[in-house]
Amino acid sequence: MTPNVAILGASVTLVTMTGAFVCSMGMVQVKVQSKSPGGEHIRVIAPAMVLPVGAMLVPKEKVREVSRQLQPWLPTIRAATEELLRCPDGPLVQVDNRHEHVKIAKVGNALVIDVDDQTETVHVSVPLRAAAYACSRLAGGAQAEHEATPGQPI
Amino acid sequence: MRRNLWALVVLAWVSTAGLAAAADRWVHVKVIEAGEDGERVRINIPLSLAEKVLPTIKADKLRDGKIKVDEHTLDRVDLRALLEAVRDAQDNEYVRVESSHEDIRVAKSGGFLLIKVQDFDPANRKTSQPGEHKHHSTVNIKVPFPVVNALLSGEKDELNVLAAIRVLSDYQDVDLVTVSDDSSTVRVWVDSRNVAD
Repeated sequence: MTPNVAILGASVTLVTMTGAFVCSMGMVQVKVQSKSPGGEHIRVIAPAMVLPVGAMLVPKEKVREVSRQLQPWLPTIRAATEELLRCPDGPLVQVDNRHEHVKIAKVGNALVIDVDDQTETVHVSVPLRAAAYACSRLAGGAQAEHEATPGQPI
Repeated sequence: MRRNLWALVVLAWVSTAGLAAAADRWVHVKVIEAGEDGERVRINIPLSLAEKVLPTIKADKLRDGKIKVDEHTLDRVDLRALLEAVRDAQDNEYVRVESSHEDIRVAKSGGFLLIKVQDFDPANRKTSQPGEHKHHSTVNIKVPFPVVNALLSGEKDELNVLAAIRVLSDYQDVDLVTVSDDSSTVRVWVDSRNVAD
């Protein structure tokens, strides 16, 4: 085996492993479809791992505020996540009126939010573990780091 | 070897079925507002979720699955003694309070505590014949006695919601609360379906 083939093999392995790790928490999907003529259609599919990374981009002051508010609710978020993962799929909340339809459902390992109003339809799908992990990260601290690591049960 | 394998399969199936049964109870809330612009809200929560989440909440009035109630609210009536007396008695209507604006009935029927509150328009009630008056709102509450006991199992000034939920999960389909008035209807019930109808 030539050195070039070995480097190529190692690179492919590294990329594959990195990809598998990044995708291990599932994918976040956001779709926004405007109903106005010529309106925008936004579609984002990203590894859920980016949620905590996104949180890093938020101004520190805001993060501190959110962190303080989230901290007491972390055990609740963790308990709810664990239990929801065990529950069968189904709608959790549905709000309908003449102008708007909102549905929050558990589908597989994700929480799916659908909003359909007069101006647009929005579809958001967030893996439950990733959402809980992002909350833990936002709440910050070494404790959160220790208690909820990616790919590990929360 | 084959026998052991089958035993393992059966054991796994029984355990899974047991877990599924425990997670099978759902509490549903349905609110329907009247009128063209009225909203329709449906909430479906697994009882097991409520059971796991409640103890983790440390809020002002809700802590460790127990709700603190204003002491004065429970001071006036010894609810525990009252329920104890009713629980061991025969099925019957035990309390009936009629006033110009409302009727309150408390009864026991088939192991359930039944509370019915009807609110009237006093003017309407005076002019109409008994039984003909239109009510503004009607509240029906139907709670199994063991659930009520569990609810009152904490300190005098608290309601043990967590204990009540645990007991409630032993019941099949129960309509807990229905409220109907001119503007909306509300229904809270427990069953084994994960969707509200």
